[in-house]
Amino acid sequence: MRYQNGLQRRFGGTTPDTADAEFAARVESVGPEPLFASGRAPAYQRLDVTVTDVRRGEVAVGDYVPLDVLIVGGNPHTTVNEVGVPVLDAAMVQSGVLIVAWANRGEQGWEALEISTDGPSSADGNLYSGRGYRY
Amino acid sequence: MRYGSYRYGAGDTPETADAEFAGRVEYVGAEPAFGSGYITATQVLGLTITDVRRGSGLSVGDYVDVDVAVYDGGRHVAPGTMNPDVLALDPSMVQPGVTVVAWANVSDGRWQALDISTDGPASSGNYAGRSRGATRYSGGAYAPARGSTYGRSYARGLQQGLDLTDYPTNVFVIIPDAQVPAVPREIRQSDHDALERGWDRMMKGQGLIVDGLATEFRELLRGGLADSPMIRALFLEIVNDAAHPITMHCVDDGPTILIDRFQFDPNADLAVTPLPHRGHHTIDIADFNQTPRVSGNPRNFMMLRHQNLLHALREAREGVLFAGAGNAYPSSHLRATADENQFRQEQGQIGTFRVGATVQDTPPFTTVTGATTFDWRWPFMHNGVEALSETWHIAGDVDGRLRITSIDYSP
Repeated sequence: MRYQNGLQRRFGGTTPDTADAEFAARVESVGPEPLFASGRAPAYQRLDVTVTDVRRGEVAVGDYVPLDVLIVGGNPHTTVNEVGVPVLDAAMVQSGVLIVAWANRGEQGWEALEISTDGPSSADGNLYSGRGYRY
Repeated sequence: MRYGSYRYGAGDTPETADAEFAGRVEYVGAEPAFGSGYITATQVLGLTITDVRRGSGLSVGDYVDVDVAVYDGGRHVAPGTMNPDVLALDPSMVQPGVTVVAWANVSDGRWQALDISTDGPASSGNYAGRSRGATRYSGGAYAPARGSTYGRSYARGLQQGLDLTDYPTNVFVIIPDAQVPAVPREIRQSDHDALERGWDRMMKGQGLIVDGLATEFRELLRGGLADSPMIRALFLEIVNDAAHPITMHCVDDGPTILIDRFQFDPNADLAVTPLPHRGHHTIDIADFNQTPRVSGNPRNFMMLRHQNLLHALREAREGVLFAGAGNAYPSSHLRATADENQFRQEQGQIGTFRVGATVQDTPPFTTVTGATTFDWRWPFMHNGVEALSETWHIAGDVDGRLRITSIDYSP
């Protein structure tokens, strides 16, 4: 369901099912951990990715996309760091792995509501990179 | 007559509905976001049952949520205040404290009203009595029960024995039910009675459970209740919904908490109870105390302490109501942010957030300024342009404690 408050109509989805795009991508680099937990403001962790397959949405294979991943406790592949702030799980989300992202395209760039990966075992390209999604 | 594709229990008309009952409105839910068509638009009323004429599964004193069908030609509907193109229940008639008669079916354990009837603010002494005189409404409903056993006298009787610890006793201007509040601190007698009952529910851990610094939380909350009808309505929505309780944890300079943290129980062992902690929300009272209580010239756009409280309460509420796929945070956060704009309008503050295309596009915007420091910036739209802004400068320490070190305003 798209969010609507009667004043402004939203165009980005608020759930993976309604997000603007769903695509597979190879992680090129992982950005710094957020310094706070989502609440008053949303927390993000940046992934730079190269798109390897597009299931839906306006993005193309080969695109290099800076992707801000929304970090909310309980989302797939998040853990907490030493002070208790939710962050991407470095054991799973690291350079070279393949991910599937459910993301919105906004004015600030791409925002992933959720990602999925098999972690380092996906780096050989036998998962996600084709059209078969494992979720 | 069926209403779109909506399935309404056994009856299609008030006469054949499963039940007919009177109830006192405790809160009025959000206006529909769309007009009735293929799907029937509904608006929630929280009711305390004052009389049951027919039907089972209801008793006097029960608290129930009723989804009221809102459709063109329906009784007590009017253009919505949020969007005049979409109908909603008429707020001048259907408001907390009034008594309504509802003809409703029950489906999947939820009451769905085909029709309601009320005399509006003048109804406080009506309907609720058991004396039924001439047929006034289509269902052969209730004549005014002036001086009868329920309604006002019943409500006043309930006020006895309430736990009103720290309740804001001297801040409201209580006005008769027939009057319309002119300023935020004016409150109708029946609304005030409902607020006292709501406070009592909180004190008894019903709907809203307060953990940690309960006295400090109550102090923060009573300020919000005093200043804002919107916060009063949201508070009642929460405390009167026992099916979706929220545990609000209140900490002082707690690790990882900056104003609030969504679906988080600071008492939980994350190894045992992983995130998210649905039904839990944590606020940091030290951060709230860094924000201004009031604002005025020349900067009548400052983000107030109770705007942050409204955000936390609404976000927590939407979190427990969320039934979709994925994480509850994005939709809960956006709804809370949209509510902030309404709060600002209610409080007479200039400037509104421009709710962007995504969560990421919606204020605040985070800028990392150092290894453990960052800014949150809220731009405000005013007269059609982004003319105002507020920036919080925030620093963390090695224990993960986050503090607002200063706030800048522009201009």
